[in-house]
Amino acid sequence: MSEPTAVDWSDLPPELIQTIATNLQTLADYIRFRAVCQNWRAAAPIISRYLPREFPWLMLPLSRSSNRRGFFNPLTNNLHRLTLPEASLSRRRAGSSLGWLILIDESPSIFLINPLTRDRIALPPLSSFPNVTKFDFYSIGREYTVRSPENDLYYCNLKEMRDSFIKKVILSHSPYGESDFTAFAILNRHENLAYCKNGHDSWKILDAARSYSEDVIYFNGAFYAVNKFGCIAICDVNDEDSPMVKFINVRQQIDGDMQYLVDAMGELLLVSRYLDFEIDIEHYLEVCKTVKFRVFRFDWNAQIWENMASLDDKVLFLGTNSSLALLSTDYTGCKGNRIYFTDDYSGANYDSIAGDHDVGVYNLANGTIESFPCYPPNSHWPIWITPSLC
Amino acid sequence: MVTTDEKGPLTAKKKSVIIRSCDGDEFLVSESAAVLSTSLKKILEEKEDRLIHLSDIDNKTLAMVIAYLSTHADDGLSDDLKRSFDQEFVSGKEFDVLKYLVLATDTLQVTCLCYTVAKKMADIMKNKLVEWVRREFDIQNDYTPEAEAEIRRLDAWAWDDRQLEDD
Repeated sequence: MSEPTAVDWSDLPPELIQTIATNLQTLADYIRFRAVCQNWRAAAPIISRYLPREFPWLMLPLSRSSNRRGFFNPLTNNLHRLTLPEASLSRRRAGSSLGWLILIDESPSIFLINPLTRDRIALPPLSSFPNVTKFDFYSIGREYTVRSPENDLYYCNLKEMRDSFIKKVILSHSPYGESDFTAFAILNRHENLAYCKNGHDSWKILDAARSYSEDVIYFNGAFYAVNKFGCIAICDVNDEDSPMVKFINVRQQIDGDMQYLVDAMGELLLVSRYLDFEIDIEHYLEVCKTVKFRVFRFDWNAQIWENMASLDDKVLFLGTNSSLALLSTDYTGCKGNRIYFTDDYSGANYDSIAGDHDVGVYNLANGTIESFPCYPPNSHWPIWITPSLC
Repeated sequence: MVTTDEKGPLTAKKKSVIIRSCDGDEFLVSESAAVLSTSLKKILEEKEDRLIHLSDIDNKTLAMVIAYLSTHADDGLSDDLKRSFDQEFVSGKEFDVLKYLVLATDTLQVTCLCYTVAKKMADIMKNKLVEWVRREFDIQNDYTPEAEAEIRRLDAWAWDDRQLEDD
């Protein structure tokens, strides 16, 4: 008979350490697990296939007293505080994609920042869009000269360009990935679409796809943009010198005030968002509130949007972020058939009136909306971001 | 001491093996249950001996693994029943018990149980301080204070003690 030998738990077989680590539910748990000892750290590397898929966080407004910013996980109710001076009040967020925030400066610069790693990647500046014909810091109040699609020239100041030139930017791939990424932008005022490849110094405009400016996603190797009526422009910019645009004209009535496209595990969805407009008598302002969503799946044979009564176990995230679908079954405590949304419309809500942002969770089964905690007035819009370390 | 497995006396037709724990307890197990462990299956294929001595698995842990194997080898039980058995199997078990169980299932290559136990451990480790994990595993911190400070600085958000538990 032999006595059991004492186990050195720091020296477990690497694959067993990995089996435990990959079952952790949150990135924070994984990060702390790696800090237990050096062997564990080596056995549980920062590789995307090992890391827990973190539920998207809601980026909260900047606190005035510090550089730290709150990120709220609505599933665990955890509030993470990240030091992120880069996302200051003087910068506007023009999207979040694959774990990266897209920030626009009052100076012409546009850049990506990963809030977890604080890695930063510059995109070509606002002044590099072909329709921005001149940028001059010394022409105060009219720093930018912009050419409209009708060929008229007009002036914009720094703040106007920062806040209204670009509606949303998305990425094709994570900048951490092996393949090059392409950034794709919806331009607000001209309803144009523009793109730039990683490492290039200027944006290119896709003239053919004008007005397909409701939303854009990267789907099946191309950018899919949608217009107000649910028609799609498929923009293949892989060959940069001769981008190809194909259109799918859907002959049906799609109402709703805003349209979003979503890649739901390989299925192309259209989500229509219905807003209610009210007048805030106290502040003499128009206030928008989300009242309903409708969801459609694209029927490739009939080339129509087919109404979906239920998303089943899918959960959608809509707003300024790249539209996102997840499976509720991948997250403990997550309920399916829900749409998590933030407000991403109208500049009026930019300097929010009553501080009552249009943010919440829509239940597609019964049409109810569950609210999140309120946000302070005069703060940036909240935005969804999927935290990613690699 | 020979303990028959929980499914009652073995019939003469059924082949069985004896598995001995490191502290000397012996378990009589049907071969159909034993071979659900990839390691035991290999041992049985390689030698005629019907007595397998496991030098690094104690009797309590071994009894649990054998109860699992026997249940899963029982053709009379539906898959649903086996699934609910798995769920109940890990629920309520102390972390200290689970860690020996996960090591045993890794050694014996009982992949499915190893995964279930690892998942349960990961669930318990949720929101726990690193100090809690080190204590439960009796692991010495082998970082220099400088190295640990740097690790905490890199992902400071994951170390917010206000949300972490120490028990």
